[in-house]
Amino acid sequence: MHIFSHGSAWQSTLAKTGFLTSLISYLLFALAEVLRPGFASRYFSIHLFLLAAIIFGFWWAGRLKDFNDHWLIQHVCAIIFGVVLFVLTWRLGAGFAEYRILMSLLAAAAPLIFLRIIRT
Amino acid sequence: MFLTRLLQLLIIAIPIALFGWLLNQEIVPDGRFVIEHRIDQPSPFIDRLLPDARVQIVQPDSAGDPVQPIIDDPVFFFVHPHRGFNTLEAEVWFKNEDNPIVELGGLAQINQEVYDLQPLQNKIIDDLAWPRLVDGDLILLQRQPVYASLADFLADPPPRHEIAAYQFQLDQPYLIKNYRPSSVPQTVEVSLRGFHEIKTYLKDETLNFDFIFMDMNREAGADPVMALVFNEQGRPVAEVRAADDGNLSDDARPGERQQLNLNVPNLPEGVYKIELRAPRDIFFRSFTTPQQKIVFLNNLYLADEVGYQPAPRPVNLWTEAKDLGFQTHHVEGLQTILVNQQRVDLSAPYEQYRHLVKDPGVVKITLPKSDVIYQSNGHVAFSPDQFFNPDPVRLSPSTDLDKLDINYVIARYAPPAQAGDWYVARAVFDTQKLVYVADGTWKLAFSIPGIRESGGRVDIGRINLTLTREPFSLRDIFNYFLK
Repeated sequence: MHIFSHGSAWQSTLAKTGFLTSLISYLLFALAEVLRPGFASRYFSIHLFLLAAIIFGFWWAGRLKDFNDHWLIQHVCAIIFGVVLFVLTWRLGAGFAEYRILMSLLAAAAPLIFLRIIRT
Repeated sequence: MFLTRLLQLLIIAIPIALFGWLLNQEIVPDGRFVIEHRIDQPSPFIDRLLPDARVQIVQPDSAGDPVQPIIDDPVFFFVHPHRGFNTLEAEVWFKNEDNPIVELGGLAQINQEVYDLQPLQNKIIDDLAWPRLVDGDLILLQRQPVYASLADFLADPPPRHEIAAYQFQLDQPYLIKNYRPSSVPQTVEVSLRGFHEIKTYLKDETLNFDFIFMDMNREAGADPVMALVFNEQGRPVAEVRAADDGNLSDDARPGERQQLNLNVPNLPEGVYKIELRAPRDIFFRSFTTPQQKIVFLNNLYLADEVGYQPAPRPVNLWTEAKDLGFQTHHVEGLQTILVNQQRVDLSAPYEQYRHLVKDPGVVKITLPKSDVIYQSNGHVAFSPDQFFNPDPVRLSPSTDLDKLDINYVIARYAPPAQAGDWYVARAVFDTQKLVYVADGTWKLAFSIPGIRESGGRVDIGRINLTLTREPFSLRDIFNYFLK
């Protein structure tokens, strides 16, 4: 039997809790790292929470029976994320020299491209 | 259902508990933070021992304990505290068979790398079979039992030339009998680079030094100069400053000759220390003073005279130090130095040449040209008349107690404890005296004089640090997030 195959409702509950808890924890620990470098990374890698979020996310996705396609929310999120990526790439991408603007635009488009791929 | 809720609670509780633990580590609510570091395991707070050429790789010793042998001196490591602390107590687990002195120092000044050295082990004191008196961390060893207590010794000490001191400074002021001040200034023409320490003697006279210096602008950044004066108790009594010459670049264009005048009247009789705090770009070219007794402490950076003199000038020194080191950074600085009649050949740049002086008393050192870094553990003067030694003999591996007619050894030192095969020694540092070499990073160094020459080794097993600060209060929350 597949690990993420359909089962009882408790699996869906646990997977959802695990996914949200891991994701929120990852963001909070990442924020703490920005405020106080080394706050968590001196002791462990905060990316463990991202790994947990991915695992729980797959588990939860495998348990979903109903799916609502929030087209607008997905695209708004992708655009916001794209703007963030553009700013980050521009600020950190001085090493790209003349390709800096190109790389920043590619980074900005990446979330929308990714969304298009998974929607197809 | 109950089990599901319990597992949900567990999933949520794990990161919350983790965050709470991390917060506790970060803010150190009780003011005490302990870092335990085995030498064979990485630590987020303590870096590995450096440089690689002076240590061997971590390996099991004959007892099977993981150790890292130190084979040369000095060996340093960096400590990265995650916030400010007031004291740093280092507990070092080590194995040492033959090396007479093992010390741990914290970097206290970046210019010329001055360390606040604390003893870990002094086998000279531990093994000396003289009657000893111990009071706390004070130890007095007497060739013949003259004093009944340390208090008696401190209240009425013998002449200084009979005392060898280790990590200890006598309270009694040093006085020169029949000293007469002079108003005739004398000029010493010598090029000295960067930080130096001077001791001089005053009696019914004004402390007056005129330093002539140049900013050589070989390194980028501002090069301010400061002369600080301390009395014999170590308290600052005067200071004078000079700003940068305005050239912050590293274009190697020498600045104009500038003057730093130190003039302090009405100081009581005694010994005064002058700290010349200057970066490496500052080349002192001469100093003029009416003071008659002038010695430099430990080290001299006899600078090259490129851009100042057509050819480097010879330098003569007088010192009582017995363990000397010479080094030059330039091919042009290679030369043969005479220590009394003993030759020291500087035949390669960046090579450290050590010379142990056999002759008793003050010896003359003749350098055909400057451009030499001179290192010692004593005083050095530029003329025999200026030489004086206001300090007791410093106990070092090269100190011959019999030849020097030393009758007393006094030390502020606690021998290391023993735990099985290990010595366990503690050194406490006031972090106010330490400097950060980078953002919140301390540099600590092991000093083991003579280890390379003797072919010895000191095996380091653990370095545990206890950092202390004031306990956390609500007021800190505000400061914490603003920091």
